[in-house]
Amino acid sequence: MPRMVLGDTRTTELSRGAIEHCVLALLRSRESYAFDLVRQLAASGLVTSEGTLYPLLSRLRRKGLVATIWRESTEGPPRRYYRITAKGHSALEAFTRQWIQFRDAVDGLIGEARTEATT
Amino acid sequence: VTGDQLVRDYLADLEEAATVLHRDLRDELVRDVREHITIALADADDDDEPFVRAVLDRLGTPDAIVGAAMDGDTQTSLRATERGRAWSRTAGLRPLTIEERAMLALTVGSIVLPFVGPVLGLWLASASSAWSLAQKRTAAAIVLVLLALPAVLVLPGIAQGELNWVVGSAGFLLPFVPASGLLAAAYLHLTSSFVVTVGRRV
Repeated sequence: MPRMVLGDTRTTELSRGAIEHCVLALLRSRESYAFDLVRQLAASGLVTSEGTLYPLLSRLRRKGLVATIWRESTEGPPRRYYRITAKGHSALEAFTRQWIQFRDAVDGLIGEARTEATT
Repeated sequence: VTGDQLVRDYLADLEEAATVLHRDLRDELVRDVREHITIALADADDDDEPFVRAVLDRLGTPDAIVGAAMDGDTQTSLRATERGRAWSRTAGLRPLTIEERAMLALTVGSIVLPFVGPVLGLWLASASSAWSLAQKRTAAAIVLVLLALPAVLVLPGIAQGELNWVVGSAGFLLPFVPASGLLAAAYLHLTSSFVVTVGRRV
């Protein structure tokens, strides 16, 4: 089977991990349905095409980091609501720690490089 | 080109691109995107073509979406695809979706298991996420009315002791039992096409 040419829509490991955890962060305080989540993430500028977030949500669900429930809707088919699971909470905590370390390290090196460039 | 047509073409392209995914993943993805479009267009004017175009642009191309589904767990999706093929090779072993099971109970079940079949079908249908609450309620109403009708027609006969009339009309009344399930199934089938669920709002 030929591998699809994905161009720049192909997310790197790093940004995919970050976006996944941003979804968990959005769900930390309240459950939400997919459309709202997708619009919020798109508005943040992290993703350019909203549709690519649906496979990501599906992946989070299969990993057990989020759970979904179907709610009947007065207009149209039922909607799927997402909420974070206990496993999702601990994954988010672990990621937050790693992310801060990683960001500080990168900031440090970029900062040093900048200082050297200006002096 | 109408907005309705744009949406239909887009979803057809997505289904086409998603054939590389395992059936469950593909069904879920197409349903999620369809739901997204339905909600995004819910407040749009009839046939506001530029608006529809903007909604689809924001979603990204079907290839990009399927690419995102393959990306990251390519191995999983490919393995899942293999598994899906193995299922279809050993024909009949592929698990049926809840809608397919409900349809079977409403059609075959109504004939093989009078009364039980259609009720089982309604119960299965109630768990479906593809059918709306209104559709489920209408299907239930069809089944209940057609099952209750023979009883309502026959009871006065029994009360008046006209048993000959009751036995004589059984041939006319009995088909109501399977018809309840068959009609409900036909209703669900006709209203669950994409044109009705999304097209209405476009």
